[in-house]
Amino acid sequence: MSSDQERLKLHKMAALAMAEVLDTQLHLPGVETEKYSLADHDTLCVKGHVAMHGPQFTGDIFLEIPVPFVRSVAQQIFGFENPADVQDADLKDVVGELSNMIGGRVAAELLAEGLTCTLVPPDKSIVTRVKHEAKDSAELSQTYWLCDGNLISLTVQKKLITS
Amino acid sequence: MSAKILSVDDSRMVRSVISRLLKPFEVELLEAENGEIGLAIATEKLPNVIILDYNMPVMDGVTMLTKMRENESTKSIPVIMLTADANPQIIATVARLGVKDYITKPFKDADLIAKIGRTVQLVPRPAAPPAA
Repeated sequence: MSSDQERLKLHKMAALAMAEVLDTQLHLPGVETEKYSLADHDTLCVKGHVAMHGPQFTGDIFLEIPVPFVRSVAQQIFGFENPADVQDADLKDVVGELSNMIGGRVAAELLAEGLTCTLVPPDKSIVTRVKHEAKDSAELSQTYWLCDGNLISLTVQKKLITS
Repeated sequence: MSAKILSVDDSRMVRSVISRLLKPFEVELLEAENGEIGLAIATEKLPNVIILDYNMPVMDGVTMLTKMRENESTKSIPVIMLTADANPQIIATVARLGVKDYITKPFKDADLIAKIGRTVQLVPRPAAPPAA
């Protein structure tokens, strides 16, 4: 299979996972978009990273969501009356769990292709959004989503282990 | 008598969602952020059902489940796994340990309530009387 086909397949897996998590867990529709500017990359985001380790491949999921949007979601989920009551730990908890769920869905899709893996508990941080680049011979899919007017980015990376 | 439900998950978000979903019912909800705390609460409170995550720090769900099955007082407590991980090895392991059900995250609210309702009776809370 060509590298373009691999990337397309990864893209489809990521898109399915993202749409399902936004719809099922946040009850918000997400629409994939190619309309973003470089300025959007400077947004301060809550980032969740889930690593996947398997005998045939390693992979990563990076989910980046703008801080004000996560704050509003966390306020609803945790039932805070005031957005200022939402702490950084709450923001990280929400994005960490969403990235964990996306990781689980992508892993299930990879399993259907015969690739097994385990998920590492998510790393969570508050950082400026970055454009991810493929490392070594890894396949990488970075997609952007509009959800309730907010730009969310999802990057999925997969590298086959060659003996 | 209300059902006693223990939710064990390192994500406060998941525990909050479960708490919100169970609010309309007469339940006593107990919470733990890892398997070690979950095991202590399960042993002391003997819940009617446990909703258990797999991937947690300190003690994961499979270790907690294994220890529960080794203890006479907790070995028969029904467990519903709620996890993002659909790894077949994990599913086989928890099936051997006799889990009642397995739900993968993300989950639909109605699915979770239906599966809990198959294990314990969920009685709706009486409506609050109108304000005078």
